[in-house]
Amino acid sequence: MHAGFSWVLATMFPAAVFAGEPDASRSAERNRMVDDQISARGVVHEPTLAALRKVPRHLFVPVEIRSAAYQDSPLPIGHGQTISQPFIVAAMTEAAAIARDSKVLEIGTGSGYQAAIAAELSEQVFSIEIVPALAARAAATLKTVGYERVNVRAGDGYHGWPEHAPFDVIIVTAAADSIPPPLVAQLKDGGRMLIPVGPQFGAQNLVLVTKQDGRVRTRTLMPVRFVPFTRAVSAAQKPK
Amino acid sequence: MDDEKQTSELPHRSGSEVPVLSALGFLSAAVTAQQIALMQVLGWMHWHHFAYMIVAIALLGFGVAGTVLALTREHLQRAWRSLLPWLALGTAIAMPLGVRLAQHEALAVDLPLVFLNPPNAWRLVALCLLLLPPFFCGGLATGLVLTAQARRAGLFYSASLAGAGAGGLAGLALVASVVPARLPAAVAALALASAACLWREVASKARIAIVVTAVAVAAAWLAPGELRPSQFKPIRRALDLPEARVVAARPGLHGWVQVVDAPALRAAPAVSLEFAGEIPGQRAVFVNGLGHGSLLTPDAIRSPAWLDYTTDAVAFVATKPRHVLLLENGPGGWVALAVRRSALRVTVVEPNRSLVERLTEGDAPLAPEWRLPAVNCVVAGGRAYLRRTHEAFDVIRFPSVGALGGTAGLAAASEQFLLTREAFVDAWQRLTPGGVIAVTAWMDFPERNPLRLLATLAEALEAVGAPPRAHLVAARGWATVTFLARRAAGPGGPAWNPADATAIRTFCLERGFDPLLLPELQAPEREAHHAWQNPGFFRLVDALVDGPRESVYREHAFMLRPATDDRPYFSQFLRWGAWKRLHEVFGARAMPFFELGSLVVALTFVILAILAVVGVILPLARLGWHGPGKAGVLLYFGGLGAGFMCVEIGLMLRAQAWLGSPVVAAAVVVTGLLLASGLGSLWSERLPANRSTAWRLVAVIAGVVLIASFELDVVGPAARAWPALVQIGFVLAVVAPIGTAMGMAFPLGLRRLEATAPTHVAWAWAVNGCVSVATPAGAMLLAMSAGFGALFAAGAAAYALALVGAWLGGARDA
Repeated sequence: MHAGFSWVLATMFPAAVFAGEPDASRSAERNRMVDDQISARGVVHEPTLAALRKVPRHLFVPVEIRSAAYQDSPLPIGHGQTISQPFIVAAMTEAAAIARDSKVLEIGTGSGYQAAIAAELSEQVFSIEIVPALAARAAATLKTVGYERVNVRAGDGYHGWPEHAPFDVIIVTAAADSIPPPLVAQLKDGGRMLIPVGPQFGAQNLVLVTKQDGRVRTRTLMPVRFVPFTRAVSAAQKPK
Repeated sequence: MDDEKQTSELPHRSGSEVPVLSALGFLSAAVTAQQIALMQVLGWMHWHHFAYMIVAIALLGFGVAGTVLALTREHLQRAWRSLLPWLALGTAIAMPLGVRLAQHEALAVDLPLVFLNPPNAWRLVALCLLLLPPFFCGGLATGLVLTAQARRAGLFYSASLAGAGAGGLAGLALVASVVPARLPAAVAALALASAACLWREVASKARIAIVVTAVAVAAAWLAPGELRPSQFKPIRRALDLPEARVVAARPGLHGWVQVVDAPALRAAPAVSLEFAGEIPGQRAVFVNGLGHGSLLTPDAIRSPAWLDYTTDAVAFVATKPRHVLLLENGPGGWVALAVRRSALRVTVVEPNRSLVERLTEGDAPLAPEWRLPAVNCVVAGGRAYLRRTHEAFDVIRFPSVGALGGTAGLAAASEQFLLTREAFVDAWQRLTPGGVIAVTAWMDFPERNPLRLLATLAEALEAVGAPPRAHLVAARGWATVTFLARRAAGPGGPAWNPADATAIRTFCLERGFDPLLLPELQAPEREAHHAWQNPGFFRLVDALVDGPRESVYREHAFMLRPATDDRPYFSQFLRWGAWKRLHEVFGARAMPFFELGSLVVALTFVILAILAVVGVILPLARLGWHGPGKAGVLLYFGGLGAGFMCVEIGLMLRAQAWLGSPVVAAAVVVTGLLLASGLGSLWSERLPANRSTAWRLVAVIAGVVLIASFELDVVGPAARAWPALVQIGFVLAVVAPIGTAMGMAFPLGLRRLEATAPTHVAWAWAVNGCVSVATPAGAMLLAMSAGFGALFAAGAAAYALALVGAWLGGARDA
C-alpha cells in the first residue's frame, strides 16, 4: 500500500524540463483567463484571483499540450487524470476561504496546480496523490516552480494525512461516491471541505462540507459545468 | 480472369451444388451472427448495444451491394462462381479488421464527446463505415448467387435462410461463451467456413487465399488486441487505480462480467458523514464495463456497519424485515444489511446467470453472502420474478437510480423495465401488510432522477388506490434520497403511524440525514443537515406527491412523466419541445451533458440517412429514372421499408421486456423475421402479381401489425411470468405471421414491376434499401418519445402508405 509512503522526489524530474518557458510571455494569457473565465462567472475573492494570475498553469500541463493550458477546459495529464478547468479551481479555492494560517489538505494532487494555488494563500499545504508517477511529477513541478513548501506524497487519499491533522480546509479534487470517514474526522471543527460532485462527464455540483460542534453539514453551492478534454489532446499525453 | 472463365463459362468441377449451397448457408450464418456479436461488442465499448444501428448498418451493406449489383449485373453474373469464395473471404477478413481498426486512436469514437469534439462525430461515421464491409460482401455474394441462379433461386434462398437461422443461434452461443474482443474472429470463422466449402471448386490462388485468411482469423482469435471501452466508462476509471487488475471474468448473454481488484477500491455509496468507522476494501463488479456492485470480504459481511449509515437503511427502521426481496441489486452489502437487520429470509433476484454462477461457484465464492443459508438466489428478471412468485415480502428493494451527481443522459436509450409505473404496481401486489418498497435515487442537478422516481411511485400508488402522501416517506443524505412506499398494516389503518415517524426522524437525526417526506414534517427539517441549492426542488416534490402532476409534467424543462411498460425509458428526460428553454438556461454546449443518449440516437439517424442516400441512391443517379409511376414506386417500396423496420425494432423492444437481454431479444427477432419473411418471399411466388393482390396484401399486413401490437399489449404482462423457452416460443409465434406477411409484399411488388416497368426495378430496390437503413434510428427516437404502441402504429401507417403506392401504380397492372 501507498499509505505512509512519503515522497521527496523532486530530484527525479529535472528542472530542465521546464526550461525555456519564459513566464512573461504567458502572463497576459493568465490575465485573460481570470478576466474572461473566472471573474466573469462570479468569482470575486481577490486573493484567489491574484493566485490564479500568478501561478503559471502551463508549467503544470504536459509539454505537448501547453498551448492549451489557459483554455476554458480541463486537460489530460496522463494516467486517466486531468488538471481541472480553471474556473473549478477558482470556485473551489474561493469557497474554501483559505487563510494564511490555514492548514490545507488536498486529496488528488494530479498536476499540482490546485496545490500551488492553495500555497499562494496558505503556508501549510499537504497533498496526496494515489498514482505514484503523478505524485512524483507534481512534486517535481511544484519544486521547480517555487512551491517547495507543498508536501506531496503518494498514497491512498482515503486515509487522509493523520500525522498533520486536523485541517482547516480539505479539498477533494475528484469525488467518489462516498466521502471517506477519516477525512471527515481530520477536518477541524469549524473547517471546510470542498468536493465537486458529479460524473466525470457531465454537470458537477460543488458541495461544501462543514463541521461545527462535531456536527457535519453540507451545502450544494453551485453547478460547475465540466468540459471534457478532447481525444486529440488526450492522445498527445499518454502516460510515458 | 482465368478463374472467371473456368467457373462461369465452363461447368464447375464437382458437378454438385452442395458446396455452393453450403457456402451460402455459412455466409448467411456469419452475417447474422455478426450482427449479434456487434451488439455485444458495442455494448461493452459504449453504454448501449446499438441494436438499431447495427441492423441499419447491415441493411446499408446489403443496399450498397444491391446497387453495385444493379450497376454491374451483367459483368458480375458472368463471374459469380469465381467471385463467391473471394467475397466470403472478404467477409471473414472484414469482420475482425473493422472492429480492430475501430480501436485505433485516430478512429475510435468516444460517444460522450461526439457533440463537443467534431472529430468524434466523424469517428461515429467512420465506425458505421468500418462495420459495413462484411455486410456488403455477404450481401453481394448472396445477391450474386440468387440472380445468377434465378431459375433455382428458391433452393439457394432456402440455404441462405437456413444459414441465417443457424447464424442467430450461433451468434447467441458465441456471445454466451466468448469474450467480446474475440467475437469478431469467432464469427469470421463462419465466413471462412463458407469459403472452405468451395475448396474443391476453386483454383489454386483462391485456395492459397483461404489458407492465408485462416491464418489471419486464427491470429485475430489468438491476439485479438484490446477492445477499449470509452474513457468515461467506470471500469476504465477502476483499472487506472494503482495495482488494479481483473481477477475474474466471464462472458454471458447479459454482458461481460469482470471483477476488478485494487487496494484503493472501496464501496460505501453515499455513506453518511456521521459514520466514523472503517470502510473495508472491496472488489468491484462490472457488467459490460458498468459498475454492478461490490464484493465484501467475509469479515465485512459479518459487520457491515457503514450500511446502517446509508439512506437505504431507513427501509428497516420501521419495518420488521422477515422476508426481504432484492431485485437486481447486484452483489454488495444489501444481503448483509438485511441479515444484520434480522431478516429471516432474503431472496436475491438477478437476471444475469453468468454473474450469479461466477460469483457463487467454488469453495471460496466471490460473493459468499449469496450462499448464506438464509439467502435464496434466483436467476430471473426482476419483473418476471414479481409476476411469477406467489410469495410476499416485507421489504422489496429496487436497484438504485442514477449515479453520483447525475448520468449525463448516457442511459437515455436503455430500456429499464424495472423502473416503470407498472413495475411498482407489480411490486405492491407482493408486499405483506406493513411491507415497504424501497428505492434510492442519486441526487442530480438539474433534478431529474429523484423527481421522476417520485412521480412514478406516486402514480403507481394512485393506481392501487393508495394516496401517495399517506404512503410515502423519504430520507435524503448528502448525495442520495431513499423513498419508501408502504402498505398499511391493517385495513383502514395508517401506513405510517406516529411511532414510525418518530423512529425515522430519530434515525435521520442520528445519521445526519434529512427527512424529505414524513407525516407532520416541518419545512426546516428538510434541510437540517444538507442544504440544497434549488429551493424549488421541495415545491416540486410536494406537487408530485399531492398533484395535480400534469402541470408539473407540462412546465418542467425535463420530461418527468413516469416511464411505462410501453415507454420504459426512465433515463430519457429530453423534451424536444423544451429545447429552446434548456438552451437559454444552460447554454448550447451544456445540452450534451444532460441528454446525450437521445442526441446520439438522433445523430445516428442523420448519419445513416446520409450514408444510405450516398451509398444506395446516388450511384444509381447516373442511370436516371424515367417513365411514369415514380410516386407509386416511392410510396410502395419506401412504405414497405419503413413499415418493416418499425415493426422489427418494435418487436425487438417488446421482446426485450420478456427475454431480459437486448442481445437475446434482437437475436430471436432478427432470426425469426429473417426466416419468416424468407418463407413469405418464397410463398409469394404462388400469388398473382397484380395490383389488387398487392394492395390487399399490404392492407392485411397493416392489420396484422395492429393486431400483433394489441396482442402484445394484452398478453405481455402475463408473458413475463412464463419460462424463458415459452417466452421465446411466444415471440416466434408473434413474429412468424407478421414476418411471413411482410416478406411477401416486396417480392410481389418487384415481380409486378419487372413485368410492367422494368426500368423502375433498380430504383425500387434503392428506395426500399435507403428507407430501411434510415428507419431504425428514427424508430428508436419514436419509441423513446411516444412508446412502443406508437411505433407499431407508425409501422401500420407506413404499410398504409405502401397501400396507397400500390393503388397509384407502384405495382400497377400493365
